[in-house]
Amino acid sequence: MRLEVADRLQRRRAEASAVEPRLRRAAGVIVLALLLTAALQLAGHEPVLPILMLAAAGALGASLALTHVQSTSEARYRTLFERAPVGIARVSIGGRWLEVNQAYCDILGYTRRELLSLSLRDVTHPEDLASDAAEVTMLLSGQHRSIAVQKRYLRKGGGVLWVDLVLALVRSADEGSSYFVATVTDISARKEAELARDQARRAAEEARALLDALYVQAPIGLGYFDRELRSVFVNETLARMVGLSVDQHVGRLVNEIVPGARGADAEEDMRRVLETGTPTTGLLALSEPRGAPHQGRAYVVSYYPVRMSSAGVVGVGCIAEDVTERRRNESEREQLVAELREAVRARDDFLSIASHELRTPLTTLTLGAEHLIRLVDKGTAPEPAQLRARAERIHAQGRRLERLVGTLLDVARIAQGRVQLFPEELDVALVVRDQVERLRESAARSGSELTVEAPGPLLGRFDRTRLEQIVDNLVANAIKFGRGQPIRVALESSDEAIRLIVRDQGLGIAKEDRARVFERFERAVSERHYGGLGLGLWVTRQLVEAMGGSVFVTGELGQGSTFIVEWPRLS
Amino acid sequence: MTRRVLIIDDDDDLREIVCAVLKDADFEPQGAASGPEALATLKGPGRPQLILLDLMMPVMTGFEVRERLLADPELASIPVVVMTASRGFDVAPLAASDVVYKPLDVDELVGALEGALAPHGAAS
Repeated sequence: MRLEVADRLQRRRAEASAVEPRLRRAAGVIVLALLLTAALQLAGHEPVLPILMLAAAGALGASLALTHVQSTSEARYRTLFERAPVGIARVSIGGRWLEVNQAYCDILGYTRRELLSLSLRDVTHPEDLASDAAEVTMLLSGQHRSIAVQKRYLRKGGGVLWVDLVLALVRSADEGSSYFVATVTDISARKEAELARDQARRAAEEARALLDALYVQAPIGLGYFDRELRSVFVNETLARMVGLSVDQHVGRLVNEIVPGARGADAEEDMRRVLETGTPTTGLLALSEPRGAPHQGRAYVVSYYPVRMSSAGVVGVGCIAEDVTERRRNESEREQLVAELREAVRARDDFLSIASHELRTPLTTLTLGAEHLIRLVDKGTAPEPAQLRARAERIHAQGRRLERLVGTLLDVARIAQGRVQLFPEELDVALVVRDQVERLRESAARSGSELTVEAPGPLLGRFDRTRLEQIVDNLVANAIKFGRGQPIRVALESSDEAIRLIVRDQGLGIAKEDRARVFERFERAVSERHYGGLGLGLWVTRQLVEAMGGSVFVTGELGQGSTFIVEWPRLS
Repeated sequence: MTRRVLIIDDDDDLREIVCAVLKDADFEPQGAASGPEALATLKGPGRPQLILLDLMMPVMTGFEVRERLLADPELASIPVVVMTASRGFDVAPLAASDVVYKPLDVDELVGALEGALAPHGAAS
């Protein structure tokens, strides 16, 4: 095709050069005819020949001139087509290039030959194919004479480039001869710049949106103050901390926003940041927000210099964090740790006391038994009565050990919630009287007179062993701390409750220690050893409560104690 | 030679059996159920040659009793053997001739007391 065009151009150039002498000859004929006409007219003859000559020469000249004009226009078009700085092409309706100029080839990176062997689709970016088809349809339908679009081409070798494309339909009477004229300008550089600018703008917008989101929704208070310490902006969190709205902050001085000494402190801290250009961090501030008195909160506040390279420090950034909960949690944790340490200490004390308590009867038992064996070995065995007394004492130590071990096991059972009760219908008064009798000797040894008022029978459903244990614990406790003073045990009954009262006139318990004595491993007098595990009252309370009752203590320090156990009567 | 021993222990059963054991070992035992009772006894006639002292006691601990003894020039020189069910305490302030730990057997108890009475075992 290209050769065909070149041949045609060559032929037209040859034709143009052949026209000139012929034109010159036609002009000579015209001049000759005019001279002949004048001569014949002067001689009185009709100038027929010259007129014929003139007509012939004119017709020839006109024909030749027209041909010349046509050739010149074609040449100019060719020059324009080839030298145009934009890509120009004629494209068939089917999308094949009929003719392309050099600029078109340069833009796409193909040689002319290569390009003419391809179709427009081959070099169109896949994403632009659909819109291309739509535009072609629009042109063919006659809706538009031409269209201008921006589209992407695929350069030879795979690169993508952006072009401005003007596509015009040149219609021919012969539909098969219609074609498009495409004009393309490479706008890749401009497009890249536009894309880069768009990306930069989007990135800036995203950054701004992110900053706004962080700023507004941040769980910490954020604010910015200018060099005069006027608020430029604050976020919702900071506004809430202060107790004003965000709008109420804007333009106000820091000491107007935060009144009083706290405002003055803040102002001083911020001025120091402005002067020194160094941040001040981790300041603890305690405050009561406006409109919420007595809801004191703790904040950690930091101030940072805000710098611009051109103007130095232009203001102060403020970051405030509400640490009330954290401090509360820390305080609770510290308290928990202290309680844990105390529990560990109490446990260690208990282990120490428990081992002491177990070793003492064990010593009595082993020494007593060994002593008896030695006496027998020496042949100086005591009289039967004396022997029995000694054996009984050894036996008593065994029982004492058994009780201690029993208490320890009870503690373990209660702690694991494994106390089992076996209630039965019994005479509570009888149980109390019997149990008190068993402790009479022990009371007498400590010098305490023991009296019991338990009128009966008083029937109730109780676990006998546990009821005995409760009476035993309370009375033994009264003996231990009773300073040899009288101890009175009473059992009272009403329609509502059965009440067991054990009153001593001993050491008594300070008011602040009353609840503590019922705790595990606790006793009101801990620095002196009174014997026992220090678990009696705790076990008592656990058993009483397991049996549906309650226990409490009254009395003053130095004036004795009264322990009262109360079981409601179930209707 | 009289070997009078004052046994200071709040546990009645233990005090009684220790007295019986020491009597058979040719000591002359005397019991005191508390620190104040012991100090009162020591003020009276028949001062003992030796003291057997428990540590964990109500009213006045063995440490306090020993402190009182050392503070009294007349009583400070009486040798003291500590007999305790406790563990892990500093024995230095007790200035004891010996320390025995419960539970213990007859030989251990008697040996400690005789050792304390021997010239080299006397308390400083």
